[in-house]
Amino acid sequence: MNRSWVRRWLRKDGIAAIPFLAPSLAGFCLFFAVPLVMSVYYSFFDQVTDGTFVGLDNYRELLESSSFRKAAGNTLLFTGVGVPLLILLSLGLALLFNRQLWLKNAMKTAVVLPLVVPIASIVMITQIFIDWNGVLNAWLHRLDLPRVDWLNSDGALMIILLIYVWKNIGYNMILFLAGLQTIPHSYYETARIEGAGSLRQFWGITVVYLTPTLFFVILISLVNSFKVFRETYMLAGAYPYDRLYMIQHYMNNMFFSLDIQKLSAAAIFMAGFIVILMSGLLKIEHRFLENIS
Amino acid sequence: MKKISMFVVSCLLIVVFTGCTSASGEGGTDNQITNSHTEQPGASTQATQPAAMPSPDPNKQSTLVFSMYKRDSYFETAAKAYEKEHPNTKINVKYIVKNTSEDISRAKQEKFKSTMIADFLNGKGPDLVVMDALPADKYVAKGLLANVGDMLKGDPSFKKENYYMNILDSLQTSEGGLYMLPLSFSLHTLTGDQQLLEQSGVHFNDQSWTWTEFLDTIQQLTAKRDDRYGFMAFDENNLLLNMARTDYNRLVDAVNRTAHFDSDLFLGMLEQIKQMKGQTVLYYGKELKQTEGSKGFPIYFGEDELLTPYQYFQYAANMQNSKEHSLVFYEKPKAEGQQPGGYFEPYLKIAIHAKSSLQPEAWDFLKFLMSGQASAAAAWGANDLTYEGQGFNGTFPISKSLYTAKTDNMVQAGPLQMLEGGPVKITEQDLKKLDSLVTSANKPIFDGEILQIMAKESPAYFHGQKSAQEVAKIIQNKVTTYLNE
Amino acid sequence: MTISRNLSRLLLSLFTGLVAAAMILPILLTVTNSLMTEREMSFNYGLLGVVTDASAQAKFVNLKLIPDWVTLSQYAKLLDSTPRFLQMFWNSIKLVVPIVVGQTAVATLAAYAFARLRFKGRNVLFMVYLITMVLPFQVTLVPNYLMIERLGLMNTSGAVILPGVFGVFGIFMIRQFMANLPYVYTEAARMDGAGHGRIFWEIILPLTKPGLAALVILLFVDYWNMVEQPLIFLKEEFDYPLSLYLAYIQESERGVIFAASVLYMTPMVLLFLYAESDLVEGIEHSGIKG
Repeated sequence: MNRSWVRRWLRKDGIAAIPFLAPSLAGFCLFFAVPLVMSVYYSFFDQVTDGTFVGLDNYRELLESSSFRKAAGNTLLFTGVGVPLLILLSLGLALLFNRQLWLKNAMKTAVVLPLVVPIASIVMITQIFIDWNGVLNAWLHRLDLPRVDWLNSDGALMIILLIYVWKNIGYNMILFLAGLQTIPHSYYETARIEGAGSLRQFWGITVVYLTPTLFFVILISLVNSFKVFRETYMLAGAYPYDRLYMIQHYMNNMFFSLDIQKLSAAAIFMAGFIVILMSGLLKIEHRFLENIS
Repeated sequence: MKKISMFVVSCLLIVVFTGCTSASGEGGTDNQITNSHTEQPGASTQATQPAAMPSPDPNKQSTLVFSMYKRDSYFETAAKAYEKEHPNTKINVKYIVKNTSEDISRAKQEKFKSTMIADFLNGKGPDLVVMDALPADKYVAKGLLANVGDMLKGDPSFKKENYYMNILDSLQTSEGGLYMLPLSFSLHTLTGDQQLLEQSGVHFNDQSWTWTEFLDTIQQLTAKRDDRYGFMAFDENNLLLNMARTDYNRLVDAVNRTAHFDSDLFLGMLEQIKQMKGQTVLYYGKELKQTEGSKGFPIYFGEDELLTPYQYFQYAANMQNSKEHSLVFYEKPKAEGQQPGGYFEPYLKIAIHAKSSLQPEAWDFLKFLMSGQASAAAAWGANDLTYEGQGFNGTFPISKSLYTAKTDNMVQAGPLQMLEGGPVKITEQDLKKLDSLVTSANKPIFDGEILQIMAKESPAYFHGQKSAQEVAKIIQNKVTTYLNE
Repeated sequence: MTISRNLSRLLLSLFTGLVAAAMILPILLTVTNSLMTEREMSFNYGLLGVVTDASAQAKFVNLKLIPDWVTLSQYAKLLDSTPRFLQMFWNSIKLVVPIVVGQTAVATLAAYAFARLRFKGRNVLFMVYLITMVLPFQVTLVPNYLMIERLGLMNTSGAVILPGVFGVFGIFMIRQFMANLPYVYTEAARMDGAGHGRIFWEIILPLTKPGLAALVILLFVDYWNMVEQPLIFLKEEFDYPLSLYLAYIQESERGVIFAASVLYMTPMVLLFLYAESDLVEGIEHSGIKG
C-alpha cells in the first residue's frame, strides 16, 4: 500500500519537486518542524523532560484558565478589527498609487517608511503622545477636560490598532502593488475595447486577479498583528490593561513561568485556528485559480 | 488520501529529526564530560526522607557549572580556593554581565532568564545557580531545584550550630522543602528614638504589633507633640509594599486564584498612607518641619535596611555621641498572630539543579561557599562602608562563625572612624544587641509579580492622579489575570 | 478631457499627499528631534513617565518639531561614547545580508514546487510551513535551543543566519506570485519538452522579478528588526546587531534615541529608494504584458 502510494506520488511531479524542495525542506525540518513537533509533544506531557503522558490535561487547564479565554477573546477582537481595517486602507492606497500621480515615488516612500522605524523610536513617540503628561492630555487640559491614563483605558486598544495600521500599511501596499503589476495590461485593454466602464474593470479584473494576493496579504497581516506585541509589551508590560491582554502576553508569561506545556497547548490552539482559517482561504484560492486558468 | 499524506509528512519529519539528533548527539558528547559518566544520585534526594548525600568520589574528575546573572569576584575567588583543595573538581563560573557598570539592562536579564529556562527544561542546566535574578518559585513548582534542605539535614559534616538556622528555616516552603541557600542577608528594621519614646508615655509592643497598631501608635505620639513626626519611611510606595507584604494572605488567595485588592482592607491601606502623609509620616528627601521647639531629630521612628554590620555600628556610634537621642532597633509590624521576630532579605541565594548528575559535588561546593572559608582571602575590612549589592564581603554572612570572627575583629580593631564625627569604640554590648537582631530575624522579605503590579499602579493614587477605587480596580484586574493564567 | 484628467490627478495627488504626510510625521519627528541637544531633549521630554503631583501646576511634555538649536551632538555622542555602535551596525549587515540572499534563493526554489508542481502532501506540508510562520518565538524556543546546541551552532552567527535562510516567509510570498502566472506562459515550453529546471530558470524566474524585489525589501526590513534570535543565540555583546541595542535602549539613553533611530533607518531607506524604481517602473516595462 505504502509502496504503491510512493509510486503514484513519484509518477506525478513528485520527482521533479525533490530538487526544488530539498534545500528548503532540510533546513525547515531542522529549525522549524522538529521544534514544532516537539512542542506538540510537550503539550501532552506534564514536564518537558522525563514527563508523564497526561493526555489532554494541559488543554483542559488552558480552557479553564479565565486569563487564556480573555486573551483569546481580545486577540480575536484585535485581529478581527485590525486586519480588515489594515487591508482596506492599504488596498485603497495601493490603488491610488497605481494611478498617475504627481510626486508618486516620494509619497510612496513616505507611506512605506514606517516599516523601518525602530521600536525604541515608536515607543518613545507614542509615549510623548499618550503619557500622563503627554500631548493628548495637554490638549484635554486646554479644553478643561480631565487627563486620561490612556494605557489603562479603553482607548488603549485604539492606540495599539493605530500603531499596527501605521506600521504595516506600507508592507501590505508593497504586496498589493506587486500583485497589481502581475495583472496583464492587455486584460484592461480588452475590457476597454469591449466597452466596460472603469468600475466594471475594477470589479471584473482588478479585484478578481488580486484575490490570490489578497489571501497572502490576509496571512501576513495576521502574522504582523501578532508582532505588534513587542510594542504593546514595551508600552504596557506583561500585565497590561484588560483589553490589551492578548494571547502573546499569555504565551510570553507562560514561558517565563516555565510552563512550556501550557504555552505549547496555547500555541497549538492558535495554530489550529489559523489552519482552519487558511485552509478555507486556500480552498477558495484553488477554486479561483482553476477558474482563471 | 489525506491521512496518507499526513502520515508521510510526519514520517519525513521523524526521520529527519531522529537523523539529526543522533548525528549531532555523537558530536556533542565530547564537550559534555559533566553528564557522561556518573551515577544518578538525583533520585535519592527527591525522596521524602532525607537520605545521606554520598560524599563526592575523590578520584573522579568532574566539572561543576555554576551560573549567575552578574559576575561576583567572591565566587571566582572561592572557586579557585575550592579547586586548590579539590584538584579533581573544576568549577566553571558562568555569568552574563561582567561588571555592574556595564549594564543592568533588560536585554541581558531577558537573555539570562530565557537561556536558563531553555537550559533547565532541556535537562542540561547548570549544576548550581544563583537565583537572585530568577523567579525561584516557578523553578521550585516545576521540580527543577533539588531540596538542599534534605542535603543539609543528611550531611553530618554540616554543623548547624555554625549557621543562622533561623534564616534558613524561615526560607522553607509551606511543604517544608528548602530549595535555596542564601550566602548573606540584610535586616529590615525600625529605628526609634528611645529617649523621645520613653518621654512620651505611649506604650507599644513591637514584638506583636500590626501595621494598624503601629500607625495608631505614631498617631498617638504625634497627637501629643505636633512639632514631631511619627515615622520617616522611604516613600509611600514602599510603605504600601511593607503593609501589603504582611497582609499578603488577605490580599491574595493563591489557592482559589482570587485577589482582594478591591477590598476595604486594601483601600484602607491606600487611604491611610495618603492621609498620614506630611502629617505623621514623612518620607526621605522631604523637608522636615521647621519648628522652634524641636531639637535635632524630631522623628520618633524610622525604617532601615541594615546591609552590613558596619551600618549598625555607625548607629551605635551615633548613640554614644548624642546624649539626648539614642536609637534603638524595633521590629517591623507583622500580621496578626505572627511569631515575634524581625524581617530579613536573603541575598546570593544558591540552588542546585534537581537533575544535576553531580549533586554530591555541587552540595560540597555549596557547603564550602556557605562556610565562607574563601572569604578570608578577600578580607572584610573594618572600614567597609559600602555594599554594592553584589558582593559577599561586608554583608551579614549566613555562617555564624564567619560573622563572629569578623565582628570580633572589628571590635578589637579599636575605635571606628565614622563618616561624621570622631572615632568611636565598639563595645561588646553593642555587639550583643546586634546579635539578638540577627538571631531573631525570621520573616523573609519577598517580592513577586503581584507586588510589582501593585507598586507600579499605586503612585498614581499617591500623587492625586486617580482615586483609590480606580487604582484598586486596575490592580485587582491585573492581578486576577496573573492568578488565572 | 485632459483638463479634467489633470484635475482629478491633482486632487488624487493632494489626497495621497495628505495621507503620506500623516504617515511620515512620526519619522519627521524622529529626524528633527535627532538634531536637538540633549539638554533640549530632557527639557522637552523629561516629564515622560514621571508621576507628577496632581495638586501642583499642570506640566506637560513639550512636543517639538523644530529644535531650538540644531546640532549634531546626539550623533557625536552616539558614535563617540558608544564605541559599539558602528560595530553593531556592521554586525547587523553581516547577519542580514546572508539571510536575505539565502532565503531568497531557497524560497524561490521551494516556491516553484509549491506553486507549479503537483505532488501528494503538498497542501499539508504547506500548512505546516505556514504554522511555523505564525507562532511566537517563545513557543519553540526550548526545543530550538536544544537543536541549535546539538548542531553546534550556539554562540555563532550561524544560529541566527541559518534559521533565517530557511525562514518560510519568502516561500509564501513567491509562491503567490508564481501561482498567479497563467499556465499559458509555460505550456509552450512544456510542449517543446523543456524540463522544470529550464522552465523555472528561463520563464518563471524572470516573470517573478517584481515579487523578488518586494521580497528582498521586506526580508531586509524583517531581519534588520530581529531581536529574539540574536539575543538568545549570540553570546558576546560585540556580536549583537543594532536592532538589539535599539530594542533595549534604556531610559537613561533617551537623549540619543532619535539619532540612533535615524542611523538605524538609513540603510533601509536607501534600499527603498534604490529598489522602488525596480519595483514599479521596471516592472511596468518588463515583459509581463504578455
